[in-house]
Parts: sequence; structure tokens; C-alpha cells
Amino acid sequence: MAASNAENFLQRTRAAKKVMVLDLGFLGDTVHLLPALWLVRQAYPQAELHVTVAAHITSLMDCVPWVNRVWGYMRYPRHATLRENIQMVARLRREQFDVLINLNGSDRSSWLTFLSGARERLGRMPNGGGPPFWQRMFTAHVAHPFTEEPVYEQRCRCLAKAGFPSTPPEFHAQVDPAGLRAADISGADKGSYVHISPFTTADFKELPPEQLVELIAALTKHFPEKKLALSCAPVPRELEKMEQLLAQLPQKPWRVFAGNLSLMQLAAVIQHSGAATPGRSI
Amino acid sequence: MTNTPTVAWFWPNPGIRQWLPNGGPYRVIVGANEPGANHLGKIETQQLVRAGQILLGAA
Repeated sequence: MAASNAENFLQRTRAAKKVMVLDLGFLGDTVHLLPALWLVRQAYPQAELHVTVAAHITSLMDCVPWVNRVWGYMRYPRHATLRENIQMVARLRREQFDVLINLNGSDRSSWLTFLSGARERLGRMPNGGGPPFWQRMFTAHVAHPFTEEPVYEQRCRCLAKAGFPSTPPEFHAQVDPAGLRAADISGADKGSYVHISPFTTADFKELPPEQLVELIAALTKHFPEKKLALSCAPVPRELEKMEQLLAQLPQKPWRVFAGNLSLMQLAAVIQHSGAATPGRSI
Repeated sequence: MTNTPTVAWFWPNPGIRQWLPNGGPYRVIVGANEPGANHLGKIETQQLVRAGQILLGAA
């Protein structure tokens, strides 16, 4: 079936009982998905709302208890196998979604959308329009530029083109302060420390090691009332870099989280801090 | 997401505008990848400290 007019997508699907937002995103993509996800939640208040993100970051979705079910799709540290993709399609079809929304537009997510069996499938046209048959994978699609605005705004604007209310983006994330306990941080520490997450995925995105040492010294000098908390991801590259950084510091920071916090615990640590200086940000 | 005052440094990614915070208590400093350099360059430590001072002063 060829794609139909997207403008009345919400109007004609408003009675949906089961809705899936399929994104497959990593951490940054998923944070940027939250405002659009909230719009979907508001638009289908009676529906069971599901979301699919990359399997290794599903714990982030604990911050959106208004999503009924979170699905993980294997993307890291390896891609999903053919068998896993077939299982995913079978699972999607069993659920019999009334609506599936895909604002990602990637080939993989588009195929999963097409094969999902969802009655109504809203897609976002990829850069360049995608393969010739792309539009046929969806029952409605929208087009919106990929580079002009922050991703979270782009996604909300895509929904607006499908008839969803055009309201200012809201993340509606609820960070559970209980996550602080795992970090050995108390309520009395609120605002008393600066959190630094200095590492990313490659050297060319990071400050030189000697400059990191200099930055930490400068922060200690200019903000003597603030304690320092450092964190990194639980991957060998970052753990090794953290070890090397700590060896160069004249004194150990107040807290060091060497890959031992969940995403929600890390979000609680960042939210409770006075400021954060991330190489990567939440 | 957490609305924490944040100083971020970025590499000059061609799609950078998509990932920068828009408004709010954030300061973003974009560096440069110079030929032969392994790490991000063209960011002064004092720039980062000043950005932190501005944010914490306003926080």
C-alpha cells in the first residue's frame, strides 16, 4: 500500500490501543527521543506505549515510567544476527501494534517497521529519500531536514507534520535520587561537587591527557569549595584512560566512578552536582 | 535531561548542530582537529574554567 497523507495520521489513529515507537538509538539518540516520546504518550493516553532502543541502554528508560514496555535491540557491542532479527519481527507481529512510529529512518529500522505487521506505520524520510521502495514500507511518512535543529526538536516537528500538537519539547524524565546511594552520595552533597566525564569513544574527540590534568588543577584552584567527581563508561578504553589520568593527579578526586554506575545512577549523580563538564553529556 | 549547568567540549563534527543543547544552563566549546594531532585542540583550559565560572555564578 502506498503511503497516505501524513497530516491526519494522529486523527485517524487516535483510538489506537497499542503503540510502538521504534528507534534503535544509542544513548544520545535516545535522550533526544524523549520529548517526541512524551508527545506520543500525550496523544494516545489510553494506549499501551512500547519503545525499542539499543539493548545496552535500556536502563536509561527507567527515567520514563510513563512508557509501558521497553524493548532492547542488539546493536552494541555487535549487530543483531539474522536469527535475532527474525525473532524481533516475530515478536513485533505477535504484539499486533495498531500504530508504529519510526522517526529514525535508517534502513534497518525501516525494514523492521515494514515487517512489524503494525496497521499504521509512520516514518521519517531518510536523507536523499531512501531506496525507491522506502515509502511503501510506511502507511504515512513525513520529511524534515536532518541538520538544522537539535535532534529532539526535529523529531517533535516530524510529529507535528503528522498532526500531533505542536508544543514546546519536554523531556519529562524522572531521575530517581535513590541512584545516589550506589554512588555513596547523600542529599547533603547536593550542589557541592563538579562532575567530569572526560572520555568519549576516540582520542580526536577528547582533550589531550596533559590538558585534562591541567583542567582538573584549574577547577580545584578556581572552585575550592567544590569537590570533584570523575566518571567513565565501563569499556576497556575508558577504564585504561581513567587509570592513567588518576595516576597523574596530585590527589585523588572526591569520587571516581570507573564504569560502575548504571545510566540512571549516573544521571542522578549529574543531576545532584553543581555543574558537569562532560566529554559526553546526558 | 537533568538540567544541570554544563560545560561541554566538542570535536568539529559536521552534524554538530543536531547535538548541541539549545538554550538552558549550557556552554559549548568546539575545538579543532589539527593535522598530525591525536587529540582535540584549540581549546584553552581557561576558556573551560571561565565557562564554568559563568554557569556557577548564574546557577
